Amino acid sequence: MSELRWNPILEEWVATATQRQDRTFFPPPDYDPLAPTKPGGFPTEIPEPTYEIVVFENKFPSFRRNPPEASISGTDLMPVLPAQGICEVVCYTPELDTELAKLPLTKIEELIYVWADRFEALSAHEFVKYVFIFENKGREIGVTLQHPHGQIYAYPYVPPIAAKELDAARRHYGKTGRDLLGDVLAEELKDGRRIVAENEHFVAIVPFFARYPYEVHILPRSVRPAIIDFNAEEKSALAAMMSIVMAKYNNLWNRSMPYIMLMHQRPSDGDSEQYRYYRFHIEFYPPYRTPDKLKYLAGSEAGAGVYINDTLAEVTAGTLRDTPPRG
Amino acid sequence: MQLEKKQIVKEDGRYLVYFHFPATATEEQTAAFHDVETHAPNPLTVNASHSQTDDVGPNKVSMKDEPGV
Repeated sequence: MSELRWNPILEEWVATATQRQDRTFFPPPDYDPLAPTKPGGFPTEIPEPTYEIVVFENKFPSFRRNPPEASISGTDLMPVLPAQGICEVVCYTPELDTELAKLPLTKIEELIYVWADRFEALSAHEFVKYVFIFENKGREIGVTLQHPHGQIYAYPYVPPIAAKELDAARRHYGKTGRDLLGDVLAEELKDGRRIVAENEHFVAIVPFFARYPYEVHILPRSVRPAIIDFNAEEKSALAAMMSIVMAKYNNLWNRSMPYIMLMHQRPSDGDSEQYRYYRFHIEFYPPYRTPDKLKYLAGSEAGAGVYINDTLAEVTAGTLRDTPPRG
Repeated sequence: MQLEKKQIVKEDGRYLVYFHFPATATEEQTAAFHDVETHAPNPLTVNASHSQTDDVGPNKVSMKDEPGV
């Protein structure tokens, strides 16, 4: 069953997806469902004997193009809707034993073209209101497949965090005539202490208001509301900046750093011109606060929505800035 | 950057998109991409004998899934 249940107290939808309880959980390497299908071998999700990058609909989706009827009737106070949307899996490489950080720069660049393609393709569906591109990496984050892959959720509404960001950016633009993320970036550049890396088109920072100790945001220097708005040179620069940030994470404690990586961009309706007050950006949330201590989302974070960061952004940014940027 | 793509529909109705980058693909990857149509399963020939299973491991078909568009 998968459906949307309305929480009138927090005014947010909760998606149920009971079929995901049965999803594949760390299969042995010979049964990697995201590998190519070798002749005579185990039939995986990808029928061809090799591939470059593939995208397919998740077998255990939280949202479906043709969702089933809801398992229960809602009320006026607590309505229920079919969970209509699309959940895609993005396989970065046919190789099992690698990760995004270790892929060649050209491969990361190609991936940016694929993400842009998916933004356009998914946005073309009338029922899709927001395209959310993300990667969960590492057992600590809860991934169930080791194979390097990301996901894309095409939601039937603008999700709460994106909606909150967009609303703040819209109000700031109304007051100042400037885009909010541009002003945040300008202050970060002026201060300088929280900058991790920068190139011609992008800046990586541990933001002033970081919630996780080694949280990093990658911001474009120009107003680009969606991933489709970057030209070829900017896509190359974005790939380079992503590669630097991920290499720094792995070099920080000389091991593969788990993280949540996500992209915030404009909603899928309309065009970028009407969202000139908002900038596409990438956020990384690594779950560790020291080499062997996890940052848990406990009482204050989960129950009150108040994040307690055990570090100062100026300190962790300095540490990451001094960490080598190559794998 | 030149990008090509081909989309197939799997037996259970889910789509799969192959992306091909001629400038960086190996010969094997290029050949596999060009073979995609040949090997693509026919979306109209869902095998009913694959239905009614709770074991929804990789590439098995569950008719509980919606057939998709």
